[in-house]
Amino acid sequence: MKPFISIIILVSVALSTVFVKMEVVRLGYEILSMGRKTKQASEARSRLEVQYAKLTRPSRLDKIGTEKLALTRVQKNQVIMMAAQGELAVRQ
Amino acid sequence: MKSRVILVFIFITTLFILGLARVFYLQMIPNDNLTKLKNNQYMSRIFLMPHRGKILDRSGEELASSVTTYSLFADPLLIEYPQRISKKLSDILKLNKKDVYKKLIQEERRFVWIKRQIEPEVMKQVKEMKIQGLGFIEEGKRSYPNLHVASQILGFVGIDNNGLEGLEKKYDAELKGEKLSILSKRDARGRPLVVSGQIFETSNDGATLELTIDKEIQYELEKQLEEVTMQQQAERAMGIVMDPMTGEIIAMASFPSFDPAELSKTAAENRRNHNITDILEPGSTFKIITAAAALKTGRIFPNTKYFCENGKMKIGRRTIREAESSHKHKWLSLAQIIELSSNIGSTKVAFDIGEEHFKKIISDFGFGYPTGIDFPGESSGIINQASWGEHLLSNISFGHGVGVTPIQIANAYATIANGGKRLKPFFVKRIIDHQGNIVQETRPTVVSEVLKPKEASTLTLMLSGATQDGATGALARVDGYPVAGKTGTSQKVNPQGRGYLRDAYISSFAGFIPANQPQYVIYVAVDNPKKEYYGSQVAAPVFKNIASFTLRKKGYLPVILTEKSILTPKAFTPVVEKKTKSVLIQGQEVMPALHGLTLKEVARELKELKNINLSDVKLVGSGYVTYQWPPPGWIIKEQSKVKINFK
Repeated sequence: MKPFISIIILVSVALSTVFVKMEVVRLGYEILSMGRKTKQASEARSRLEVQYAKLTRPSRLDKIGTEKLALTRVQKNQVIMMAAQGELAVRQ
Repeated sequence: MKSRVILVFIFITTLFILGLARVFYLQMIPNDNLTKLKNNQYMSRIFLMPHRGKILDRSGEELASSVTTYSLFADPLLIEYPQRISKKLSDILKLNKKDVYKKLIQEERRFVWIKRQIEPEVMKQVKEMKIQGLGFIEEGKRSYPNLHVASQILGFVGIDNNGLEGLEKKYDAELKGEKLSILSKRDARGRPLVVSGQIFETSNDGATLELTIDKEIQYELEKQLEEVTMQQQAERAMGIVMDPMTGEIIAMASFPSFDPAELSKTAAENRRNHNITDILEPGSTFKIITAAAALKTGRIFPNTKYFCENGKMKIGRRTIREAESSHKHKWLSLAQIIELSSNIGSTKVAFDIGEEHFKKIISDFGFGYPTGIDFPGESSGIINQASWGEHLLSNISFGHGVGVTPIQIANAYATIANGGKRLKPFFVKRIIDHQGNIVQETRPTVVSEVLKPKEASTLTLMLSGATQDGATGALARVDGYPVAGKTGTSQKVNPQGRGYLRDAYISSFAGFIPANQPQYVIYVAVDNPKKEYYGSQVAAPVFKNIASFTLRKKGYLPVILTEKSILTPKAFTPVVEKKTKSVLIQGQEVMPALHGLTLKEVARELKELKNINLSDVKLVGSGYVTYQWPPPGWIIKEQSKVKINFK
């Protein structure tokens, strides 16, 4: 009985070792694949950031505001400064 | 039979021992050739291409960024049907079919670029065609989302992502990152095997620059400059917005400028940052320097009066006149000379203070030296070092006969605005590496103390007077805020030869707002306006527009003038540390201001600097220092050449 158990243990250890090694390789590929996805996502984010910056560039907003939305530049008598009493006191 | 068995046994044993010996040799004895063969078999080198760092404005908005693109190359030897492939490629890549075909049939070459920096979608289309002999290399492409906004500050990069102009050039080493290669194990299909996450822990991207520029103020400045250029049919307009308390450049532009995406269509002239590279005669904006020199004597005061010769004064064979023939001033105080911009008054002041003293103050304000701004190609300006004589002294007193850069003028006004400290202007606030660590942070640097706070306040009051009703700078006033500033109108120097161009002027305005608690120094210069030419008519209204926008954007409340709010000493406390002598900035030694010192005092100053060997310093002349190289505030490296002129 004893030799039989020993053989089983030996085979199990050998199989486990092989399994662990294969798992390491498999996880390596998975990391590689995830790394590629991360890189792609990061590139996509960069592109979106650039696109956002393009969409919000001052000249574009200015043009849309004045040409499409018929907005005009603020005139000096249209600006009302809201200040708390405390702020004015500090300023004075 | 037995002996045969023994022989076979010995033979097999010998073979076995030889085998073991070979195994021992291969495994245990180091052998470079074998290691190389092994590496070639299952190791591969992975190249990690860096992404060029971003450039952000002061609020973190992107001014320049890099996106990944793909460059298509071909190995002509492997291309089977060049005719057919060139047609397909030219359709997708929008290239000339003949050009592509010519590239594909160059059999003597194994590598030829078809098109560089292709967008990923286009790359996918090409890949789907599965053509043997074509390949892609990943490359970063620089993108400037705001087009022309701040383009002369940012500069641009070449096709290989090397900075060629502006901050892209100045900070190229920090921005471009490092191309890395990693040796990694590979499998039978050539895929890299991950070892201890090595590939993912390694990053080589360039650092991010965080600028002092405010994108919105920059846009407004550019817009105002464009409008005035068009309206006045001028050749060019330049402008600077600066924080006088720190030396930060908030906006800087000239019009016409350029769009980095259309470099080939732009004249080289428009790519330059004229505010830093160009030298011009400052005109009357320089009169405040004359006034500063007068106050520094300690015997001339704002109410000291000079006789202004009824508008005409003869110096030798030449006659000095006021800008307007109707201006026939008699007695004017120093304050009125600034307010009414009297040329003869300035001349009289300059004659009173003398050439040597005036030269020293001009030098103290930084004229004749680069400001040390972190931008390539800065000019020093031109200050005649030889004896001036009466005529040149007179001319310089009202801003002719000297060459200055716009940044020098803006910095001089910042010196007055902050209470007398000359600061080093700068663009880059922080450099942040790819891991988010701050690797460099620029702190305000005082180059020298030019004025006492009281003298600065007096000059501010004089400049405020120059924007009151009836004064030359009245059109620069912004309702609700006191403005200190001075107009300037100078004849344009003939760039092709001697003298001045006929009917060509540079109209300018330099000042700060609010005068009692300066937030912004603004300088505007319009080159050769055709409709009007006085600084008061052309540049002052532009100053007003920019000033009102910047204060509104900052949410700065209108100033309610009371006794306490007018020029209290508190208002002129700059946020910078006091550093006037030889100092260390970020661990580096900085050249002290030596102007006006004796040889003994110079020796004492330089003795403190480890990077300067006193015996190597070139000393010319005797007396007091009139010129020094490197200029004050410059970082001194080991064995820097130092030259000092005495007179």
